[in-house]
Amino acid sequence: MTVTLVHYLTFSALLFSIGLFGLLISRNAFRVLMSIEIMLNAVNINFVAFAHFLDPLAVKGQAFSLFVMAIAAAEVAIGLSLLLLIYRNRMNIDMDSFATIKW
Amino acid sequence: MQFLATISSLPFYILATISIICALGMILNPNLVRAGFTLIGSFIGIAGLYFLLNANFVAVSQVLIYAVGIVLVIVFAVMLCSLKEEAHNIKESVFSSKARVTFAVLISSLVFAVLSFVIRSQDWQAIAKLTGAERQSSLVQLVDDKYLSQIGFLMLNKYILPFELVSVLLLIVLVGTILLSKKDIK
Amino acid sequence: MDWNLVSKILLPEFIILGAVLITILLSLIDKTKKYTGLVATFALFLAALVAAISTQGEEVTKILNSAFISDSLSRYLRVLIYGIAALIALAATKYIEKFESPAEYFPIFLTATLGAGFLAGVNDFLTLFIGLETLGLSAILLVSYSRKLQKSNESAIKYLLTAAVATGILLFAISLLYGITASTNFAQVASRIVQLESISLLSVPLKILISALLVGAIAFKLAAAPFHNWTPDVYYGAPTSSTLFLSVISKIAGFAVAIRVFGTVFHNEFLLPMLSIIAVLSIIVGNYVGIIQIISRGSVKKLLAYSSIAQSGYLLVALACLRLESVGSLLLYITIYAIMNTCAFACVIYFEQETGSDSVFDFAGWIQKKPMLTIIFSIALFNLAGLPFVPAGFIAKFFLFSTSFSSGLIYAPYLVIIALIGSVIALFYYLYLAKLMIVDEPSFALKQLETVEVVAVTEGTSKCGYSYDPARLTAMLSVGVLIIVSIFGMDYLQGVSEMAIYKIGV
Repeated sequence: MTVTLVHYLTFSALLFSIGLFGLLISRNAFRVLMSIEIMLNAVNINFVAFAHFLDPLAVKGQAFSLFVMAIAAAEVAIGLSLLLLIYRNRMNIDMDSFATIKW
Repeated sequence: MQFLATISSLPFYILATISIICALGMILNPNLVRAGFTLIGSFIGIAGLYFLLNANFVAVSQVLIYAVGIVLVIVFAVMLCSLKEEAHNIKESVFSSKARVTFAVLISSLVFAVLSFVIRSQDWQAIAKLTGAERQSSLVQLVDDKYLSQIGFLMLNKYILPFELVSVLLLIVLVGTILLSKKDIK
Repeated sequence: MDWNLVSKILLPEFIILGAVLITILLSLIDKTKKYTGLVATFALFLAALVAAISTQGEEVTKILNSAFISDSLSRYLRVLIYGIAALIALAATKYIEKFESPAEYFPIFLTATLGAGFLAGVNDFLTLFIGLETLGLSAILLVSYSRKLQKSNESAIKYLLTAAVATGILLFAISLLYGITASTNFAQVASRIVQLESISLLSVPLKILISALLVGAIAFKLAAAPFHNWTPDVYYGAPTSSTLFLSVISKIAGFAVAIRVFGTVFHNEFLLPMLSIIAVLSIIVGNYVGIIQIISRGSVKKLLAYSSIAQSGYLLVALACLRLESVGSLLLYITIYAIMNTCAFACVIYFEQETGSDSVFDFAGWIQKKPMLTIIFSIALFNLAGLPFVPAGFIAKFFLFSTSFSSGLIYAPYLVIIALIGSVIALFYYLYLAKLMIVDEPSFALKQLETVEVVAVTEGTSKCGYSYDPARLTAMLSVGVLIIVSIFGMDYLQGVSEMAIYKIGV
C-alpha cells in the first residue's frame, strides 16, 4: 500500500470539508478566517500533489501554491485590520450580533 | 515487501492524522488563542507532507508564511481583541445551537463524500501515462535542488504577469490596511 | 520575449499603473486632497483612449508566455472597463471627500480597475486567479472605506469572508483542472480536455464537479442567485461610489471571465443547465425582493442591488445559450447596462451628497428641487426597465432576448419567457421610483435641505471647490453617451460587439 495521488487528494478533500465545517459552525469571525485558511491549505495540497505525480518536471503546481499563499496572507491582513476596526468601534466581534448587516 | 511498503507509507499517515486532528482541534477548542496555536500544528503537518512530495521550497514557505506569519498575526489580533473583557469574549461556546451543528456536520460530510467519490471515479494513472509523468519522474531523481531553480524560472518567466500583478496588489493591500487600522484623526 | 510588443499591448495598463504610483505620492503631498481623483479620472480616460485606438487588437496576439491574450474581445472589454471606470472615478471625486483620508481612495480604485482590465484578456488560470483577487481584495478595501461607519465595516467583513470562500471554491476547481491537464494555460487545458474526452478518459462526475465549482465561483462574482446573499448588504453598506464600482466593473470582469472560460476552455453538456438555473433564480430573486424593497421603502442602493441581480439573470440567459450571436448581444447589453447603472448611481451619489440619505422615501418630489437630474435619473431607470424612452436600453434588451430565443437551445424559449415576465415585474419598481420623484410632494429631507442651504448661503460657508459638481457631471455625461448611442450608434455598437466575439482567440 504505497501512498498514491488518490491518498493525497482524499486527504485534501477531508481537510476542505473540515474547513467548511468550521466555517458553518463558527460564530466568531476569527475562527471563520482560520477555517478559510484551512480550505486554502487543502487546495494547496491538491496543487503540490498534482505537481508531484502528474507534472513532475515543470512543477507549475508548486509555483501556483506559492501564489495562493501570498493571496491568503493579503486576505488575512485585510480581514484582521477590519476585525480590529470593528472591535474598536463596537467592542465585540461576534458575527451573530452584527447590528446593521444580517449574517 | 508488504511490510516495507507499509513502513514507507507511515510518514504520510502520521502527518495527515496530525494535521486533521489539529484542524478539528482548532474548530472545537473554545479558547480562541489555543485554537490559533493548534492551527500551527496543522500547518506544520501539512508542511511535512510537502517534504514528502519533494516540494521543499513550498514546505519551508508553508512554515514561514502560514505557521509563523499568518497564524501568529491572527493570534495577536485575537489577544488584542480580548484585552478588555477577557473571559467574556474570548470563550465562546461552540455548541450553542444543536440545529446549526447538525446542519454543519451534514453539509460537510456530504461535501466530503461527494469529493472523495469524484476523486475515486477518475483514473489518474491513465492521465499520468498520457502526460508522460511516469517517464519524467525518473528524470526527477537527477534534480538535486528539489525544483528550486525550476520555481524561480517559472516565477520570473512563465508566470511573470501574475508575479508582477501580485506585487502591485500587495502594495495596495499595505496602503489599505494602514488606512483601516491607523488611529483616528481627532 | 518581445518587450516592444508587450509594451505596445499593455500600454493602457502601464498608464494605470503609473497613475497608481502617482496618486499614492500625490496623496502625501497634496494638502487639499482634491487632485488625486482628477488624476485618476484622466489616467483612466487616457487608458481607454489608448486601448481604443491601438491597432494591436485586430489580430490575436498572446504575450508574456500566453498569460495575456490581446484579441478583439479583450480590446473591447478593456475600452469599456476603463471608460466606465473613468466616469466612476469622476463621480467619486467629491463624494469621497467626506471620509477621512480621501486621497487614498483612488490608488485602490485604480488597482481594482487594473485587475478587471487584466481579466478582460485573461489566458491563464494563474492570471485569472490573481486578476480576480486584485479586483476582489481592492474592492473590499473600497467597500470598507468609510471606516467610521459600522455598516461599512460589517459589510466589508461579510464581503471578505464570502469572497474568500468563493476563492477557495474557484481554486479547488482550478486545481482539479490542473490535475487533469498538467497545465494552467487556457489553450493547453482546452486541447488536453478535448484529447481526454476523445478517448473518454475523463470521468463524468469529475466533469460535473468542476463545472459546478466554476459556475458557483463565477456566479458569486456576478452576484447571481443563489450566490447573491452578500450583494444587498454589501451594496447598502459600502460608500455609494464603491457600490457603483461593484455593480458595474466587477460584473463586466465576471462576464469577461465567464465568456472566456465557458466559451473557449471548458464547455460541456452539464454547464448550460447550471447556467440556466442560476439565470432563472437570479431573475426571480432579484425582481421579487426588489418589489419588497420598494414597498417597504428601503434603501435605493439596495433596490439597485436587487435590480443588478435581476440584470445578471438576463445576461446569464444569453450566456446559457452560449452561441456567438447571443454572447455578442450580451456584450452589447452589458455596455448599455454599465452606462445606465453609472448614470443612476451618479444621481444617487449626488442626492446623498446633498441630503446624506439614500432611502426611497426621501427621493419623493426631487423634481421640484433638481428637475434636470430627476429627468436623467428617470431616463436611467426607464432604460434599466427596458422601456424605449431613450431606445438604447430597449434595443439592447430586444437583441439580448431575440438572439437567445433563436439560439437553438431546447429550453431557451422558456428562459426568455421567464426573463420577459421578470422584466415586466421589474417595470413596477423602476416606474414606482420614477413616479415618486416626479409626482409626489417633496419629502421631509428635501424640505429640510432648503433651509440648510439658506443658512449656509447666509453664513457664507457654501464652499464647493468645484465649478461643477463631479457626480452631476458624470450623470450628464453618461446620459449624454446613452442618448448619442441610441440615436446614432446602436448599429455601430452592435457591429463592434459582434465582431468582438467572432475574433475571440484561445
